Amino acid sequence: MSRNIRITMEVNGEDRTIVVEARTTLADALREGCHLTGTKTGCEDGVCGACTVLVDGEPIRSCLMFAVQAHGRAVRTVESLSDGITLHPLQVAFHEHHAVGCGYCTPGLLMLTLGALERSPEIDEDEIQRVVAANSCRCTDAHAVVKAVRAAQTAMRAGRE
Amino acid sequence: MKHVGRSHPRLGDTPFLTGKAGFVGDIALVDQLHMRVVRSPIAFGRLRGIDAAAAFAVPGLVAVWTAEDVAALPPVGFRLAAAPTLEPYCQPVLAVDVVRYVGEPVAVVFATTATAAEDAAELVALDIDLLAPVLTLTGSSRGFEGETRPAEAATVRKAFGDLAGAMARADRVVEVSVGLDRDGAVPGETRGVVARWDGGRDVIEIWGDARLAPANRDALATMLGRPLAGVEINAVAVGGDFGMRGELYPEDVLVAYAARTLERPVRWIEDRREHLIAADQARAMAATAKAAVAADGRLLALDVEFAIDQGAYLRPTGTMVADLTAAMLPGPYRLEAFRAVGRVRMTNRTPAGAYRGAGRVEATFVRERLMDAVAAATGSPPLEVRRRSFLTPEEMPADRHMTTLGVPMTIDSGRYQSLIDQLTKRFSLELVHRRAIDRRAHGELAGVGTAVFVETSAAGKYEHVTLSVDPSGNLELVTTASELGQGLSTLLAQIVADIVGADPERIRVTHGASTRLGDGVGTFLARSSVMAGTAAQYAAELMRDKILAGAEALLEVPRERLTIHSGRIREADRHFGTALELADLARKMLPGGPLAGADGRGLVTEGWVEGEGMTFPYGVAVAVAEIDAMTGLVRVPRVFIGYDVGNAINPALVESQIATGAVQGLSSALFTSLDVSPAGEPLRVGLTDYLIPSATESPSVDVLITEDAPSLTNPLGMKGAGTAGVTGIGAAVAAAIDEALQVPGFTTHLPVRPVAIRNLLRKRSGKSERG
Ligand code: FES
Ligand code: FES
Repeated sequence: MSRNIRITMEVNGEDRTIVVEARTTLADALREGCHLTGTKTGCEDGVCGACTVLVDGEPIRSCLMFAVQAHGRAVRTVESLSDGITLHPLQVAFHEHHAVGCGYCTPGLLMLTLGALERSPEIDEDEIQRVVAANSCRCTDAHAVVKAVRAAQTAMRAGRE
Repeated sequence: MKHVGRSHPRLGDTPFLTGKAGFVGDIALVDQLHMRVVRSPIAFGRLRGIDAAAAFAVPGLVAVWTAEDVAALPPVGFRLAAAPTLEPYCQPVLAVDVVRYVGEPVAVVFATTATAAEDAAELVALDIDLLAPVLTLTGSSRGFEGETRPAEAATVRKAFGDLAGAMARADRVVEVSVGLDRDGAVPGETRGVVARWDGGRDVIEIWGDARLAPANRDALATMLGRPLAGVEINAVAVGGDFGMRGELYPEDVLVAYAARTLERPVRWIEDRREHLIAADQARAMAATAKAAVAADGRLLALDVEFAIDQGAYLRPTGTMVADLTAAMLPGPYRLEAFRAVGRVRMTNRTPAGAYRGAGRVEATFVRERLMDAVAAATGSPPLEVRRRSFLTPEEMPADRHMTTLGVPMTIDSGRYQSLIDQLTKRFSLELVHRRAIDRRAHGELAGVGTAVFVETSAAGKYEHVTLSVDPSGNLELVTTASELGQGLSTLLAQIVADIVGADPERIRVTHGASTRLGDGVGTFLARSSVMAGTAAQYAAELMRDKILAGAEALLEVPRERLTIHSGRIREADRHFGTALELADLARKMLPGGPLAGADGRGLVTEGWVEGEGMTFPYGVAVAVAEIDAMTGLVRVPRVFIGYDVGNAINPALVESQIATGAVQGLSSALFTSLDVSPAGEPLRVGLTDYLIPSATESPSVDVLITEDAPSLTNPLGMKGAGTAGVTGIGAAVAAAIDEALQVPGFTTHLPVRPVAIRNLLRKRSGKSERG
């Protein structure tokens, strides 16, 4: 039926070689092929953003990208944010601002906003709100998420200085 | 430091922030099979045959089952209020002879990969003779062509007082006809379940939503003909529940049965399309409501007839939504007489179940729309009409002379007018009203609407927790109640921390633990913080006693002189120096030792609480609406909610529950409905058609929580808050739209249709152009 293809991508700083089908999405390749289940899927339609990861630094919907398209590229998932001891400033801010509800959309929101903050460290509140609006969440106050991202922005700026 | 009352950040966030939390879809078991459901594409029809031959050509296919293969399984029964007359309305796990909605499970396939299961399921051919579906509430109550069951599954009746007398004495009778469309919880994560038969122990182990684990375990064991100890339901992280998830579904039964029969782990993860057509939906109803109003403007009586679109089958909640809707109709008002007749009507739509605010949202919409009509008819301000008829604090506790869900309804406490006054003051609502008037004077379409509501929480017979201290001084509280993202673990830890004298961070809350406790009831009707919280309080008080008794014996210091802070036991009159670490005491008090306590169990206690009646929290929702005259689109930029929780254990958690509930309610009021084509085919089958409000559409929600009316049913005075945000918002938005348009009674139905607003505005401008 479908051909198996061997791909190599850098996942969270490590080269991973896995075998996928042509139709395997990056989301499935990460979850099943790399056993990184932090990336979630909520629609597999490109709408909800639960599956957002960074590919070469850009937030993308991993349910819309085929795994073969990630061959040779660098992928970062939520698992890259923390070493298990210290949390990333974004994670700290989400926690402190009550920006986690059920937590299902959280990995996607973290990677989406991380991508935005890395690309434009000085984006303003309106822009942050627009970024956050790209993903859907059914159980967190969106304004709390925006506040958390603002706080993380400040913390990250302080960290750079 | 006192922890209750503090906005402690949630405990246990880290796994969710780091991607480590285990949701059901993250479980992969060795040798697992993937189940895929073949669903009816037809809303109503006779099932002539199923041909699965082609599916067997798919590599990896293991089995295809139809109704015949699961003939041993009874239909899914009731968790609440079972009755023999309701049995014909129970759903078989796979359709037998008739299909009754698009999405009904007709067959299941099992394969070694998810894609093979999907491929094979598509090759299962169904032969169905079409029948004419019934999709609305307007059909005959007797039945429909081709159906053996009457269309009205049940009729709920509640009444008190002399209705005819009150109607006769009324100065006027005001009537409205209103309704709500279907909506659903549509959480971030779809449904799913994983099961494995452990042959060594002869136990079917299940992983999934454990909100109702004890009840579901009992039901599954009965359906599968096993002892209760032969089924275990393990809690996993859950991506939003809102009442939709957690009830027993046909798919749960199929997965458990298959794991045993096929002797391999079985996994079923729903896709979004399936979720939107097959998971419980809610809200669809139509009502005609009459208010008898005295000459002085006070309410005398309410008389309401409503029908609920139940869909094709009754769910384990039975007639709960109809019952609660009827019971909650009187709300905060004093009435001499009341009558409600609720009809549970079957249609060829996805079965309806509970969704956040079940029954209260419906009742509030009907009643508050009626109150606004009374205001319009009597020419009084809406808030004044309400004020005249509020039950006063002096009338509390107020017996409603009815029962709901089998429990007598006595409103325990409430200061309704005071809540409105506080909300008005806190957020300068006078100004908000004045601004809307100003904007209208400048030709804008802006309005403010208010709804007052009474909630209910904490039904359910009992709750049970255990609390223990381990030899390292860590505490564990075990409960069957579930953490569903509402922060339950944090609330319970805060309660225990204060009483025992420990840091919340040292308290692990193990929730959804039916495998450890064997009893408990679960999480529904916003009851968990109240019931589990009270049980936790009792367990913590016993623990404190045990600790002090142990320390007294060990230190030979009378317990009156001992205090516990952050897990350290000290002598109260000594300002420094720890007399004893909790860990040391726990080691000395291990079971079997001389200090193990009177019961010999060491530092282990239990908390048991029996249902002490319902509590009736209350709230006010105020919405600002602005309408775009060109498109008829409504925007709700601001929402204000006042809510009395009795005792806010963690105010920030309550506020966030309320804010997110308000957004869900707003979503039902403006954007989302689960509608179908004239043939009964769902029109919302993906998140591109079902629009969840994002950060841009979400209003800013200002929340005022008060603690003015502590519940008398539990010592901490708690009242649930999980549904407070959602309950009043629809009615408030409807009133705000009416005011913006300056057409009282315009909004009879939610969600509002921009086209209806456009038509109104066009007609109006046509007139003014001609005139
Ligand atoms: S799962 Fe990828 S956008 Fe929803
Ligand atoms: S936190 Fe539940 S979907 Fe976002």
